[in-house]
Amino acid sequence: MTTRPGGDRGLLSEPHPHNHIVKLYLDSESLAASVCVYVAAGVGRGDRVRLIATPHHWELVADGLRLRGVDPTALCASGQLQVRSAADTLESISTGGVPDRVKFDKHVREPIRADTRAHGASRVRVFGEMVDLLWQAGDLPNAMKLEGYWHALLDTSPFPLFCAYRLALLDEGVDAAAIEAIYEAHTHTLLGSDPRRLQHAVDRAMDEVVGPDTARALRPLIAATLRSSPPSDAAAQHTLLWVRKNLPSLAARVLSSARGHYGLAA
Amino acid sequence: MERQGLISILLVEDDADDLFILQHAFSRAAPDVDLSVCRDGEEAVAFLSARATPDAAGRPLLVVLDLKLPRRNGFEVLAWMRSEPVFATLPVVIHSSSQEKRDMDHAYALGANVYLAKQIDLGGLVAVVGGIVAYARAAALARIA
Repeated sequence: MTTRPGGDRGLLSEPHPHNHIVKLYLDSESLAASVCVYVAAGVGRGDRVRLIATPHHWELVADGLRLRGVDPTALCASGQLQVRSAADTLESISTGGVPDRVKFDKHVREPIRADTRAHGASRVRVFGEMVDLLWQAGDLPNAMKLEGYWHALLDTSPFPLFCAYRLALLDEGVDAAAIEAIYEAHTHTLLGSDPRRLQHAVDRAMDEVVGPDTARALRPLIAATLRSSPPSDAAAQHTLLWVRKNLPSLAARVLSSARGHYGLAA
Repeated sequence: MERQGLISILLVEDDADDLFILQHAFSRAAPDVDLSVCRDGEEAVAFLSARATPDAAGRPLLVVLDLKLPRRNGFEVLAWMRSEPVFATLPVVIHSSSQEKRDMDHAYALGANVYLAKQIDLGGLVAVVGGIVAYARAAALARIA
């Protein structure tokens, strides 16, 4: 997993076919802004863009596109842009609330493969929110199951895939294993937070909770700790996950302090 | 088994060269640490079993564990520790020459806290060992607080 700062337009504008990007977001406007960059850049270069989005997010994205001088209605009419409801699509690929491989293949895999066959892998880009619906419903196992279906599809028909999870990195209610599973399921993570401000907040919080000397001493260990996913280049994110996992009884204090320094309610 | 001062850390390492470098890094980063050494997995289990009560003298605050060990490998030692309530949450730092995903996933699944790749850069190792000692202290303080 590689982490790019929240405003990494390059990654969203020119993603590679094997990129599986995730944005961790809190507010819909922040997510819609990123999706707008992804969509506008895609249609600008003639890509086929496929969105499996919530109606609210699609409305925000459509507004954003109009502000950029891009007409979403015309794009949809031409077929270059296709928008499907995330909830309806999730239902169509599930059996008893559980994602079903056969239904996924029929309703998601085949249409995308038809697009990549017709236009080329580098000419199709997809944004999907079905995993986020499962995550927000508290169903991480099925979100990961669905990620697995996407991975299998990307292995055989590579194209850029962008998805999102509504997740507050500084929220102590989020389970470390869940965060780690989300990191490991993606090639690139976009933070909804301002990365420099987050780094500063986490550094101050560590200084306060474990003491400046200990915080300084821990940094090389945290940086050297290996995970099976590629190393993150966002030290704050890595530090937060490390503390959640290895100093769990201090994690709540670190997160609370970091929220305060970040400007959120402690 | 050898012993040398305040925070107790157990090193489980069979390779003489790796052990020498690790001990040297500890002596540079934290000369006051009470360092114990076991040279195989069976010796590590016996060492920890003899210090199973929370107030036992020389009971380590953290274990640095190699994976490729004679008699009982590092995975077996780690699995044994996590099955013993008294050692179930004792911080374990895996120090291994393997960077294979399978080994990392297995170690973390068994309950390792930190997985480190062995490195030959002494300066880097000294800094990381300083972090290991800081982690042992922070984990101990967190348990008391």
